Amino acid sequence: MKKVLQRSAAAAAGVVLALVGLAAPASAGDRYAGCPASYFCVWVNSDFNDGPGKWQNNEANYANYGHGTCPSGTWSNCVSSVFNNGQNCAVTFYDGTNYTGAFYYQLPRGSYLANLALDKWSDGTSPNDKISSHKWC
Amino acid sequence: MSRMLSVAVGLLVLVCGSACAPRAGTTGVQESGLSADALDLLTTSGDYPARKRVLDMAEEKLVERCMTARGQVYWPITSPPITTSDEERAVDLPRRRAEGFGLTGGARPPKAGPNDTQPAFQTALFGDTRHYQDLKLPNGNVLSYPASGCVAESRAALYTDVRRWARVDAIPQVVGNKLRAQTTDAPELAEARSRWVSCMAAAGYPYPKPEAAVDDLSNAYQQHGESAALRRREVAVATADGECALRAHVPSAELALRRARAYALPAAQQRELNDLGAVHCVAYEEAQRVVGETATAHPCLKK
Repeated sequence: MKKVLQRSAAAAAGVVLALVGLAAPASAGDRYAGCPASYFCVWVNSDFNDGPGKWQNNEANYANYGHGTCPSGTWSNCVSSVFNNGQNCAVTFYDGTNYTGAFYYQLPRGSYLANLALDKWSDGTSPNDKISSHKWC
Repeated sequence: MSRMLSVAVGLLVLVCGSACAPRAGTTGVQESGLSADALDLLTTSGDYPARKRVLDMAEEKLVERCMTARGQVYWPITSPPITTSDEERAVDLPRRRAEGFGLTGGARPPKAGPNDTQPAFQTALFGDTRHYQDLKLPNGNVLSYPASGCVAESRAALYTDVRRWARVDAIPQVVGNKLRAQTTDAPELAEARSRWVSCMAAAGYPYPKPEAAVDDLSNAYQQHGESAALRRREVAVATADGECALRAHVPSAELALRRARAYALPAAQQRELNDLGAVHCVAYEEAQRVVGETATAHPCLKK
């Protein structure tokens, strides 16, 4: 049941996101042109490759949003580059679901981290392939 | 060193409790190389939240002014005054009573203006995307940020140049995450969490750890979908969670650990944080002038 719900949510989200993506103009910039203004966007690989997953709202659990090339079939723990194309808020992303976890980072508006895998600290704080939720402002 | 830190932190939590999250200048370890301003910036506590609010308001005011000059209508976001302690702010009981853990609803930022979906609005706000700047962070990540447009110009007006803004915004966050990772297994935090478990059990919510409460509600939404009854349960559990966190002083214990461990950072990192703390304070003073809030008492200590 849980899987069915997740698949349904992911499919519905995909349709909604696709429609909204068509409605809103893309920001300038070739590399992340698929990220519309006012969205937080994520990609599977570094340098905005394979994606984006995109949200205008807070999202407590990336497992609710499917993406075929991710190991789990969802965006959960599957993000290596991020872009905050929001216009008036920073977005905080977390390594835990439900806005929890020891790691979080507040990404300012208009900013991006193109390769989370560059994190070389060996203390378990690297966010690469660990992001599971985000919250605006 | 670790035992000394544990004793110091234990004393801080015992003496201060929730009413007195350790503030700059009260920790008794000021002989360290880390300034009070740097410590507040690193741990987003003490005077930092009130200063950040003024800086945010100033940036919004400058962005609005700049956007108007470029023919765009920008609606600035207002920030409520900071009236609570670090611990009360971390728990945020009023929000819990209104929306629980925030698991449903998916709040979003307000619209930035009547034409905020137009490319011209985006260009005025963030400028030319070919003019982004990169900042290499202590962990190896690279932050890229706009160097032109109204947001960048406003940040530059407050911080002298936009690169100084980026350093103040990003570097303390990365180092702060490192500190947070060092505190997760500390016995002082385990004791506080144990008090939380007892408090929640007495309130009728026998969860083994704080994360289990929110996970339980999240799983319930996954299994049963949204309903009014589940929404009421989320608010009740989130409120009890917050009240028990305050009684058990979980946020204070965690913050005291981070503040204490900051003094063990490498000397070069402490010097860099001191520099960033000073930059943040100068920007704060400029922001006070921009928003006309010069009477508020969060002066820079200028160690």
